[in-house]
Amino acid sequence: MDKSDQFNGMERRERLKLLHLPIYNAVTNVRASFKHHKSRTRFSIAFKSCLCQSSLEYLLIVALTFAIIVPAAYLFYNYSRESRQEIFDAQTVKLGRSIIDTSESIFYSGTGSKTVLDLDAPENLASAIIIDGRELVFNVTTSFGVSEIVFFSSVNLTTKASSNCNLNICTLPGLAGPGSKKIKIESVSGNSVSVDTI
Amino acid sequence: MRTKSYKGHRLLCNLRSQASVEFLTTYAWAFIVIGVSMAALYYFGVLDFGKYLPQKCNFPSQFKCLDFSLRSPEVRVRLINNLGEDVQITSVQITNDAATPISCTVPVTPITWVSSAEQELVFTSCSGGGFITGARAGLKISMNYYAINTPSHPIHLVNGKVDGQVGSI
Repeated sequence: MDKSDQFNGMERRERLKLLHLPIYNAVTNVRASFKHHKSRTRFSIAFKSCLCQSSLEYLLIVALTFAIIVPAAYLFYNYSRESRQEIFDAQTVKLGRSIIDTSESIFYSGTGSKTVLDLDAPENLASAIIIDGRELVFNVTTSFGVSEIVFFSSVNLTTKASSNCNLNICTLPGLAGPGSKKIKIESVSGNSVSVDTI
Repeated sequence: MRTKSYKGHRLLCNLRSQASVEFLTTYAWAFIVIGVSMAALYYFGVLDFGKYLPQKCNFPSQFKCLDFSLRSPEVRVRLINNLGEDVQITSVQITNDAATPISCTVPVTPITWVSSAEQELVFTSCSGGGFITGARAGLKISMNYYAINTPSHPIHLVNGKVDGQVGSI
């Protein structure tokens, strides 16, 4: 059976299909491939959109969290800074008042009386001096500058280390700086009390 | 066949580009809306967290701050002498951290201040340093004083800070 006999029994479409089979196959493949690509692309876009949406939602949640945390942290930081200042002030006043009250008590107990105080100095205490034997002055650093906290004694204050005294000013180097301090207070003569760190 | 596949590839690329552009356009609008909202909040002062802070007057407890007022162009501070001694105020200064610090007419000194008494320090004609109505001001006040009963009259320095919203008289 030759080719013309074979075509006689077929419809025109069938004949064309047989003749251009390689081309038909190629076109079908391309169409199928394109359809596949199209669906993949749609899926890919939908999937990416989904991811993007979740990323944006994540970002919004993080932004909202930061919007709450940052101002709150700022407010609490300010409150704590002020509290810190008040604590330092209270510690300094306690230290100064303890030294003055004890000195007066020791003075009136008579010559040779002595005691040792164990007190905590705040970390902003830069230096301590005695002026004119009646002013105990603490230099403290604060967030708004250096201030002098002064305590007045009704008894004459001095220090045993004469090298620390110059004219009417005696320094107490052991009192500067933070931490626990042992302060020896002694009635050294009939008219004065020595204050020293040990 | 290669030509058709190439066309398909181009079409696929176009689709992706379009999706990207659409995505960017959508979210660009979202970002613009968020940006404009934030700018509006900032403009109306909602994001100025400083105004939520309390108004404070900080002085060492030996000169405890009882009250204060910041009313442009005047600053008033009421302090109490907790030293247990009569003192003489030799000078008073007021300043702040601005590039051009605040300038005021300071109280006339010397001021004799007896123990446990209150003293109002009034700074008038204040200008500069961002001291304007509605703004928040942080002012540093310094005082020099000496104890009247101390023979050598050593000068001591005390610093305080006033933080608050400036009002108008």
